[in-house]
Amino acid sequence: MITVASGGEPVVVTARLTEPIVDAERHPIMLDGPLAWAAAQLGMAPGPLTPEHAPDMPLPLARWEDGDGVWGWCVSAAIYTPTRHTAVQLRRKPATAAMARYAPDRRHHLALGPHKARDTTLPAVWARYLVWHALTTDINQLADLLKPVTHIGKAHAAGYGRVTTWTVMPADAPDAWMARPLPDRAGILQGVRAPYWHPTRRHPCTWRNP
Amino acid sequence: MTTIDLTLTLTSPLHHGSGSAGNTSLLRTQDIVLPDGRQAAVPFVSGNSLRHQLRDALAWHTVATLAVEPGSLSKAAVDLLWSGGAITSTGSQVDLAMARRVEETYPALGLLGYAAQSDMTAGTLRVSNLHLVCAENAWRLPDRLAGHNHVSRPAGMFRGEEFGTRHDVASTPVDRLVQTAGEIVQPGTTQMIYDLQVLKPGSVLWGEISLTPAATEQHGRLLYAAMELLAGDCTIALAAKTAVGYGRATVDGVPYLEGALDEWTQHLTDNADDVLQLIKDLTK
Repeated sequence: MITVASGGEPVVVTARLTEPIVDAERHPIMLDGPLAWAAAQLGMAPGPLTPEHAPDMPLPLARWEDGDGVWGWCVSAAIYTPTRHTAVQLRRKPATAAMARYAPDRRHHLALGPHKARDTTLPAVWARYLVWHALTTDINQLADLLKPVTHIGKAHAAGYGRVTTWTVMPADAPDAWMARPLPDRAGILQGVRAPYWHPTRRHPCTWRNP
Repeated sequence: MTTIDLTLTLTSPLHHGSGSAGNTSLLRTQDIVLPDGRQAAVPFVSGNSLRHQLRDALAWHTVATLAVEPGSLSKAAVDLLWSGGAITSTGSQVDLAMARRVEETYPALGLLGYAAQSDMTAGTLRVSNLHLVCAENAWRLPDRLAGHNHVSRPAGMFRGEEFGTRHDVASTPVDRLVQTAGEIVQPGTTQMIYDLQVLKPGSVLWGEISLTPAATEQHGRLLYAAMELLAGDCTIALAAKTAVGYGRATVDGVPYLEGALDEWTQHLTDNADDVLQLIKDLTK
């Protein structure tokens, strides 16, 4: 039984995008991930991230609990309409000119080893907007914490998933945040809150639609 | 957060390649969806390419300042400086002390991100794709470019084609000279005309370079130094075939911070041994 552990006001958060999102469709796009990243960037992390422990950031979102000690943030997965499926290429050319000058080796194999040439093609999807439903404990703090989030998805350092504007608007759908994976013993292992990739965050979940 | 807003005007044809068809090198394009749902493929220069140019500029400056002897670096060290390194071992311990040492000794790695041993550290630098100022991109251009003359024109207006020639020495004085030397050598070269799809000179590109909130003050100053190395005279050579004159552009918006490059050079000079030892330790 999922319950909301702390009160919050329903809001709709919208990101306007000007670049395709890389690797968007392998996992749900969860807003507490970028929010936790922003909090860490701003020095709000209560401790270091280790393989055994992931610190929880103080996010301005209500929390849900499942009664068995598993909890997460009350925010839906991103809702969006893909307008085109595409791919992006990222190249990594070995610095062979510099190697020729500064390294003593006779050869460099372009297709083997950690320093090989790479031409990586990643799936990407175009969407004009990403929309999340959430329960927030402080709408202004939420809007402020979104400001450093300038990109969503992979390859953001190379410009993909660029967000030009964020809007946070009050809404009247208090259960809409539940459109996300939530704990269910019959489900498959998934992350329940940021950082979603961390082993300590994995629990059996199924997708709920309120 | 630091954001540098750049506008580039091409002064020579630009070729950013994406494979070939026959003898023609194709121009790289991005599939985009317009606000009305129509789709288009618009030429662009990848942010990844510009980001690498910043790393490349800092790497060459580093080895020149430290007077690194030819043949004295490992391949892994060269790869770390020019390409950001690679994961070379497994492990579940993050070396926090090494990360701090990197920030103190050679913060260029912290700015651009790097991988070493079993750790991958994200940089604080973000470089956007450079987009063509044209009708298809009008919806995502900054307000200051909304009234630009090119915004009303489709991307196709800015595309063109160039060619180059690779000469064959067969039947030339060079060939005859080889024969008179008594060598039975058939020149292995082939006469070839190659074509390149290009963006025409005069085309305008827009993009931005920014730092995340976790960037240190040193990262900010280093970014200014890198920009001065790359485009200090407000010109830049972008994308492919720059050795034969392609990709030249003038750049508006290059920031200048008095003394930033001198400070970085002095830091490298003062910490030369520590920097070289750090690179060695990261790549052993």
